[in-house]
Amino acid sequence: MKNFILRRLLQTVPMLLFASLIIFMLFAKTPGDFIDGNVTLTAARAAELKAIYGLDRPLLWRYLHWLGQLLRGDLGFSLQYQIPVSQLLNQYIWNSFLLASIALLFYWGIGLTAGVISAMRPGSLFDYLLSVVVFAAMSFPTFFLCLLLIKWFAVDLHWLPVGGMTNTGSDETGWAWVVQVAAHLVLPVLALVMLQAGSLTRYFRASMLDVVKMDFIRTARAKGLRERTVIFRHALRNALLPVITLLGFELPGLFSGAIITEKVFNWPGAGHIHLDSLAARDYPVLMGFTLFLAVLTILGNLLADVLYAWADPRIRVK
Amino acid sequence: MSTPLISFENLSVSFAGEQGRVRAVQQVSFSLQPGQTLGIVGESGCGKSVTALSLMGLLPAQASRIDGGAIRFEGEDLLQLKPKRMADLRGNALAMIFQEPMSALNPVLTLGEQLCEPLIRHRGVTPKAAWQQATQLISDVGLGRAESLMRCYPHQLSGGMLQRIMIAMAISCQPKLLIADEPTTALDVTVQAQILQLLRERARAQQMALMLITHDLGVIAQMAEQVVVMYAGRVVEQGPTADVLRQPLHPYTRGLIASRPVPGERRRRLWSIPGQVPDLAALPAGCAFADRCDRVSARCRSAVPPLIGDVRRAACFHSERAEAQP
Amino acid sequence: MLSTLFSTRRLRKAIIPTMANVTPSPWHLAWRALRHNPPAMLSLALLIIMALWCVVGPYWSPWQNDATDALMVNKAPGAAHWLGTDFLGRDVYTRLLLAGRISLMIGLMTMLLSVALGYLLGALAGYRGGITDKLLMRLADLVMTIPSLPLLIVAGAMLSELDFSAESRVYMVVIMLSLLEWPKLARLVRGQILSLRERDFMLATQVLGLSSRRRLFRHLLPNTVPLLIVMATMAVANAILTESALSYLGLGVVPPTPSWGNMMDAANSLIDFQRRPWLWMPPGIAIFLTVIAINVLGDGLRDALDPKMKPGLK
Repeated sequence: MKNFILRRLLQTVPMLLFASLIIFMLFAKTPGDFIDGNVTLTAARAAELKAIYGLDRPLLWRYLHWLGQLLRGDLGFSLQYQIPVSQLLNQYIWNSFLLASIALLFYWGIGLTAGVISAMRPGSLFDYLLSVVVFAAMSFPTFFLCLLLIKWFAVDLHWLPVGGMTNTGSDETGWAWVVQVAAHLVLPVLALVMLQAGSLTRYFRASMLDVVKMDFIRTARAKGLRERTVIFRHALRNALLPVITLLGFELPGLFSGAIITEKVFNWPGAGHIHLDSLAARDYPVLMGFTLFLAVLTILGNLLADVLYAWADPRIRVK
Repeated sequence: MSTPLISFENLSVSFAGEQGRVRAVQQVSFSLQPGQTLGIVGESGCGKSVTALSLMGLLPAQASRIDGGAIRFEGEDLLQLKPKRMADLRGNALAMIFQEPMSALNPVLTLGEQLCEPLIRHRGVTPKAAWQQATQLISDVGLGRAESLMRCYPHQLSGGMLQRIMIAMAISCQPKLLIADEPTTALDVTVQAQILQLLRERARAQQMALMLITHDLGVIAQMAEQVVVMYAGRVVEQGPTADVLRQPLHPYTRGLIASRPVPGERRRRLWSIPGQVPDLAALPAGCAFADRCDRVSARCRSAVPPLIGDVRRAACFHSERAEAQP
Repeated sequence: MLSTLFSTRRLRKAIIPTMANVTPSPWHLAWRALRHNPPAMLSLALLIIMALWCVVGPYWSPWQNDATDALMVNKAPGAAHWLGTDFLGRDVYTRLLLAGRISLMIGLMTMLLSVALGYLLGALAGYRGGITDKLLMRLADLVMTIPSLPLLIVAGAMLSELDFSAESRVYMVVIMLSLLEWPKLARLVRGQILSLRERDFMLATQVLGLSSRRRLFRHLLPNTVPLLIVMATMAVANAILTESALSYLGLGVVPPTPSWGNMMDAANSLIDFQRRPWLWMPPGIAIFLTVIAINVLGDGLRDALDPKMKPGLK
């Protein structure tokens, strides 16, 4: 297993290099940068600033410089916020993580439960209704759902806050702060769960349906095992195999911040920073962040493969 | 005559099909004595597997329907039992092994874990004790290195070895009946002989009745004391194996025997029964074999011939015995 | 096998008379199966109606798209304006239909381009194997590694800088979306080709000595068509959702070209959001209905084209 991981990690290095090159070229070639965005500067002052930040140097030099920084663990320096990128990300990423991880727990839980129940009763009313709900959930544009939720629950009914992570201007700490954040979490988590639980349920239901038809389930029943044992010990363990890889792919999502959801709910997370930096042309942040996400994606793929190998003895025991 | 261990009484089973109901099994009646080996022979689709699955209560609940009849196990009608009670019998007093050992075992559990399951479930032993008993079972079915096999996964073993494991699993709780549904069809010929030998040994050692389902007359000849011949969902002939094979009463049985290639005999073309098995969703009103029979008459097409006889039975208006009696 | 579609059906029927009326072709079977699937047929009907409506509807409406009317600004839905008017006095209903044209067209075109690209490259990788396969899959992995929404956002911002005309901007959006969608499709196709190649029927074509070309075009590829159809429907749905998200952020289709996504940008102003739901809800509902219809249809197609038997008989 260790060799497998090492080998895969080595293979990802050239991939990362390529990705970094593409990312860098994309941002560097985009016309306009942070300094251009600031209209108050005179031409001379702008030129000066560009020189200071090295923005006037040739492309290749800038790429290698950036690469060198990365290898030293330095993700760059935010031009807008005037702090290191890693520090900036650190401030906001954990908010996204909070949102994403809570949502993940819910939609995986719901997806698995609903998937199993509907697979065990195919064609039943529950199954049918669930399909309808699942299709509806998969077909909603993210931002539309978020807007609707805000309109109904926050604006019309005043049950929940409209946006942000805490009440504006509040200074609470300790338990009161936790309660506030919890209240603000409800709608965005609800949105994320509604959007994601659907496809997971379908995926899991399909996997379960496939497994239940297999010969070894018949053998398990022929042994007189209780139905509960047949489903959980035999069917579920096998049905989970293909689904478990999905857990690995969730890794980048946990930190990337649901860009649209965070924007609509005004949640101070990584997605928010992303859009912010984009508007301000703060390329160091964008580049550093995008590369960070690329790394997470690759790690997530690796994690997915590792999880599959760990779960399926046919792959593990070779 | 002592009480039969298993007694099928006019069992009829049908399935929901695209063009109407498929009558997989119709009015099947036969019985099996304790410790006896019975063979059910017939071609694919004749209903032999469905018959066995009905006994075990393993038919797909949604698509299948018992249209009538009873299956008695030591006098009790299995079809009337509550699912829980049926589950208590399965793997315990009634066991079954299937055709494809490669896919019949759970790929993510070790063989040991799967072997222990029936022991823990039906005998209430502790996992530790079950592990030891299971290890012993592996040796009993003729496999070496039992301890390391317990920790192996199904994909690491060959088909023959897996079938032995299946047998071990099935006989672990000393069942009174073991049903073997085409146990050797998916295996090499040499392995076939070994598996059949194993089944015979175990049946004798544990005084277990054996219901052997196959399409291979050779297997029947080798193993079964009694044979039931099925065609298009019905029993067409039944009797002691030696007698049936030497002097078949039903034209279908005769056809089956005649179509076997005889070693040493040279023919230009192998003979086979003309025609095809009728569609089970659209069975004719009379005898289902009528279109392929060389003795067919008007009577055959108007009514389904009943199964007549006692020790030797045949469902044909023109069976040898019927013709012998004026 | 689907390849029988391309064989001589009449000859087959003549040789085996009993089969003349018994075995319909797989396409017939699929169409029959689909017909018996009410939700799928309903979705198909809905989509056709929507498409027609968006194309033909504006000609029947008395209001022109760019007709602004300073007097009729921000009116609620009524008899004259079925869905009210926006801040420029434009009729929301007409604009909705025109936006539908754009959004649906983008969806279709993206599907065509990304499926064409994905299918070609995936089939190439799967059939050729070796270096071609490795290179193409590395490329696909690379594109998939880079997070798509951020990339699209950046590309969208770039487009704004580069100042394309409204027309060509739409095409640029299509290209952007397709370039990011093809890797997923390519992988799916490649996977299927790899598994089909090993199947016995392909071995049979080899044993029969059929030419490479015949094997590819008459046997292998026709069996990938079901996957292709399903992929295509999913691609349209995905494209419509992504485009609407981008346009909502102002980075896809930009005004004055209407798109369902950018019409919803009205929700960004607090007053419009609270008091004038007729501005931003209809486009959202339109997107929702279109996508759900596509998803249900795609699901129905997948069920109909799947040759696996239903549980019942072995």
